[in-house]
Amino acid sequence: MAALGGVITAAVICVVIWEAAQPAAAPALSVHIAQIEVTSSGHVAVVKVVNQGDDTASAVQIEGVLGEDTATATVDYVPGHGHAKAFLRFDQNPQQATFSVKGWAAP
Amino acid sequence: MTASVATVRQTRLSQERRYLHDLGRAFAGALVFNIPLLMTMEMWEQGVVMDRGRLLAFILAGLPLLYGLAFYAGFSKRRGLRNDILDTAVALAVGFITASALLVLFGVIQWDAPPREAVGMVALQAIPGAMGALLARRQLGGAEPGETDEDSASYVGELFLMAAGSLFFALNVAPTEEMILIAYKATPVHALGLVAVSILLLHLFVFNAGFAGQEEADRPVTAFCHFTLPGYAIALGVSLFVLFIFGRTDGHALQGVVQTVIVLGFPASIGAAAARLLV
Repeated sequence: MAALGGVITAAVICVVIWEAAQPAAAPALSVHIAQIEVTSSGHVAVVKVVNQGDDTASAVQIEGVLGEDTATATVDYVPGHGHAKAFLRFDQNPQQATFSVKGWAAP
Repeated sequence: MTASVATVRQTRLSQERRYLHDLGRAFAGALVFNIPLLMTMEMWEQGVVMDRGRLLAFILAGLPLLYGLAFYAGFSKRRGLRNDILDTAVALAVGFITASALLVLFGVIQWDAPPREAVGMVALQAIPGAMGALLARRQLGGAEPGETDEDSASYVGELFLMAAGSLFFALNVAPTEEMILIAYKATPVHALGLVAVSILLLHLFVFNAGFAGQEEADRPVTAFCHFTLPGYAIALGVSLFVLFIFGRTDGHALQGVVQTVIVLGFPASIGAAAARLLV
């Protein structure tokens, strides 16, 4: 048990030290459409927001534009090297819509 | 003959009265332990949105834990396999009743709420409530020192009690957004500092709260290897499990998960350390 406990604790410390050794990069956010769902209230674009940077972004604003139709959503957090999901509603099929990240805050 | 029938009846009456007293204390224990969670908004949300597979995993993991607590503490004086199972079942009933009644009283569960929502919210709260019910005798003055089996716990039993303690503490804070927020704000230096403080406090508790027997008390290094390191690993494991249950690991890379586990591991290791005082 002592050995197992030691190994787990050491592994956790190693991951943190490895993380500290990497040069920190600001959030690098990109957004792409993952899926389209047809609901009774219109077409819903399920978008995936990916953060390639090291730092976490909070209050991430996502915008989708399809002709005159603009949809927005705010994602609470997109962790560093992680991803999050958002949902944007359109009247028409949003297959041709363009999606972008408008801005974010530091947590 | 008449006298002996009267005596039997009197004994049964006093047994029933004692059982009612135990039951009352179980409800008190569920209240004391569960109120912070019952009044936490994230717990209501989680009851609605939580993946049902994860909710089921939480309940299934809770059952052996509750049985273990019934074995080591229990809310009634009666012992033995059958009574421990009965204690577990009654504690669950107490947890469900307490959670349902209070969530309805707080207006969180409305009468027209879909059953799926209400059941999710109550089921999620019933397990910590049942834990409170089982710890009631120890916490609310029902047990004399040396009366609960926890005093004679084996090494594996001690580790189990640590897991129960850390689950209890972790559960109280894990659903809140603050856990991931602290992890996001923490730099690797902060994280390493938290690891060091968690292990140090755990070790101090292990020493002073009497986890280590007399032999270990003279040998801090042995106690460190036997209780502190496994205890911290248990706290980390419990934290990972709870974070997974509440969906706090979703969309995170390895280092993000590790950082959040370390943050939740702090209260969890205090819980593991305090298990001796709680149970």
